Amino acid sequence: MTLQTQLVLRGFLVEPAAQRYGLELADLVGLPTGTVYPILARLERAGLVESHWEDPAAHEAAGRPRRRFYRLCPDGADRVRAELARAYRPRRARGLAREVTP
Amino acid sequence: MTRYAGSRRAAAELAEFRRLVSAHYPVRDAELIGYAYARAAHAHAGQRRRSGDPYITHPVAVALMATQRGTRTAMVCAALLHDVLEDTACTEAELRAQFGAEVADLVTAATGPHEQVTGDDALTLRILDRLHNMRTIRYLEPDRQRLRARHSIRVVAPAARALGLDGVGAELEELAGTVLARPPRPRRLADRMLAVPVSVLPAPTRGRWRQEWAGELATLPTRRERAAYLFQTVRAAPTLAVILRRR
Repeated sequence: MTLQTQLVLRGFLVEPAAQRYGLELADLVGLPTGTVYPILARLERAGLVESHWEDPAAHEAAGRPRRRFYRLCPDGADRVRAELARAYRPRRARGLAREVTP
Repeated sequence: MTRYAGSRRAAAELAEFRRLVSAHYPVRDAELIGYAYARAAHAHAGQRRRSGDPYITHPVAVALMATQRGTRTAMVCAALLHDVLEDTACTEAELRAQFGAEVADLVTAATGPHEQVTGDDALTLRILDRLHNMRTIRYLEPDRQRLRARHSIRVVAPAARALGLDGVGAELEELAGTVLARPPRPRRLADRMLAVPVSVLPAPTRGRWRQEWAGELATLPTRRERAAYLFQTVRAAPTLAVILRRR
């Protein structure tokens, strides 16, 4: 998992139940939107994140086009925490392995 | 009633309103209506319609429609005062003390979102309110004109017909139809430029990403931010295309 993907996942974990649109999430985690959209697409394909269109009443009242919202899948928060933990372990293990090799 | 400053049409509406009130309402009622006019004009002093007319021209136009229908005095007063709770410092208690419970209740019931208005009289006020807003809709931004027009056709015109106000319903539909028949505002340059990154994506996914990006683009206030955003979508598109093509 790339560092940017980890950042995006951490962004979702700030408020696991919140729904966010791409630009908002990019601002939250401090990555350019150009980086965030492919990550979101990948996470959606992996089933960690789901997306849906904004309720028409909300954007029609504001007089702007609808937004696409992303949020963690119901069991997403736990899986994301597990994924993030796994992303760390191998690297540390590799480091230790190198140290003990004669 | 006080001196008047406004467009010719608004001045004619005020003159006609005065004429009808003095011709068709008892003197005591005409006095109360005159007082409601003065109170509303005072409350809305300094406010303007988008047309540039003093705000009071709008409640007068609504009250004129009410008098043309021969509605009772309380309705005419409520028409004059229909926006004071929402847009001015005037309070419901004040209305109750000065104009009585019936007027205060009507104005209160007619305040708030259209869908929450209850009671035939309050609803009639809101429908006439919308009719005047639709008659003067050209002063609104194009996007909001379309929203208002759609709401008029879907919600307000059927409500008018349900109350037996067929003429009002028909006029609302006609005014709204004229707005919706016009082509929507040409899209901003940045919005049209989205076609470039979108063209890289697999065809079935293009609509979604185009709408998603257009939605976010629309929230960016400056040309510079929109340009930066556009650049980012161009950057994202090839990677995104690869991910979306994967099975």
